Amino acid sequence: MIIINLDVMMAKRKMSLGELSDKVGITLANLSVLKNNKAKAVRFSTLDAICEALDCGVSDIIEYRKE
Amino acid sequence: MLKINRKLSVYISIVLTAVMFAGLIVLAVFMPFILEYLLKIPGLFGDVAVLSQYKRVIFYTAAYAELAIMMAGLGLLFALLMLVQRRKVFTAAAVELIRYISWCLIFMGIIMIALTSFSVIALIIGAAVLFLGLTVRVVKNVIEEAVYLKEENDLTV
Repeated sequence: MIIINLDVMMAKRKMSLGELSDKVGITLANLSVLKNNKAKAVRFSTLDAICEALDCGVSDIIEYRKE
Repeated sequence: MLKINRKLSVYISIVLTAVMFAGLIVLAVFMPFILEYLLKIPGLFGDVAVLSQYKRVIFYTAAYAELAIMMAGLGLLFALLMLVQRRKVFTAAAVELIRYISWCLIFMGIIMIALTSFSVIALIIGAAVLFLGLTVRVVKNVIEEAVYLKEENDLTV
């Protein structure tokens, strides 16, 4: 299963959800959906913007775990 | 062509549903008179004199059953229109409502077809209603697919 570690990375960068939402340019509601593992899909453009804002790689945010 | 906006269109549908419901209530009250009148039309339902009491009971039961199902269907339509008005038509609840509406139509068709022994017209109308029920069922399948797509789209970040 795919796990989103957005909160871990945000804590590392000491960035709030509102701040990240401003930087990435997606709504707070949508960012919450992503952070809480409720998302069904993530656009490449969103992923690109999040990595840019948090200065990290994709694997820092998205992780695959065997069930 | 006259262009009616979305809100007005829904409003008109709600009013028409309410008018039809009121019409059905009136029809329910005057049903015995209407049925007796119809039975007296020569050739429409065979010879009245031959029509036994037993057949008459079946005829009345079927007529009232049709009416009851139609009223239930109108109630479902009304609920569906409320969902449209609240912009919640692409939800599982709406799919369920459409499914029930299709069952209403199918049952009405079956009752109509069962009345074929009274008149051949019943068979034709019954088949048409059955076809309508099937169409609504397919529309339900389409909406179900749309609900799935919408959910996926809503949860794409």
